Amino acid sequence: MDQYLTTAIKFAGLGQIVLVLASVAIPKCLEWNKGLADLRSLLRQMFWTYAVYVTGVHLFAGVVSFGASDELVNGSFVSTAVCLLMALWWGARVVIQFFFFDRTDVPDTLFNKLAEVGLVSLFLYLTIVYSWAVIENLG
Amino acid sequence: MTIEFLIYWAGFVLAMIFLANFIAPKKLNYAVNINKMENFHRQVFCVHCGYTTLMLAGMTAMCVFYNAELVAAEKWSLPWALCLFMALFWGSRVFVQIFYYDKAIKKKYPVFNILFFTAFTYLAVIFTYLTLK
Repeated sequence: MDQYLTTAIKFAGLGQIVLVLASVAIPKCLEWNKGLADLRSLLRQMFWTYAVYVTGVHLFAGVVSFGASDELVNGSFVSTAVCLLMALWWGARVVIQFFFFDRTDVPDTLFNKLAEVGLVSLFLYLTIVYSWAVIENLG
Repeated sequence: MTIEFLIYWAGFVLAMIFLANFIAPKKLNYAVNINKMENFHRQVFCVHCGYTTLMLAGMTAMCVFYNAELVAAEKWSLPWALCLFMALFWGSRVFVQIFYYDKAIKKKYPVFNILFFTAFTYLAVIFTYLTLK
């Protein structure tokens, strides 16, 4: 069971690293520059700062999950807390995708549709894997 | 003064930054300003705000409840990786504050600018120390 979980966590890490690499394309695909053009400069800077730091969390979680999956299931308080935070993080992201985002403004291209399917699948996978890790850590 | 005490202080500073995220929307008049964005971009902004606030809550909890683990972190362990992440996070945030954020706004709110700069620098120093010790 532990071996399956650590392998699943490694894949979760890989998924998040790929997500970070793909995130470079998001501003162009979703036309951020056009969408933010009328915003006052501080809020535009805050938008980019938040986006970069959120991506930084994804990179950190990706590298730790891929490189130190054993550490995340060692049953310690810290590993449980980190897995719980990531389970909440990605679980909330699934809910946001379906119940908060108004996707009518997203450019209606085949690429964007396929990207959404891929993203939601990844978010679900990450939620399941980190929740599983929390249960294992508490067990 | 012990390192444990300094980490508790870091938790307090993080809690203050966390609370500032609830004051900022009114102070910076989000209601009017972000309405200039398209609906989807406005939602992305709100989601990023929410996640940043969640991150701050997580860091605060770590400094308060996992204080001992952070102090005892061995190199390449998970607590050490968290210290490294927070050192990079807050170290880069100092540079963002100095070189990226709008100078006019910083002049308009000099006290907030100094408070944020001091807070970010303190956090960067503490977590860098924990990473390198």
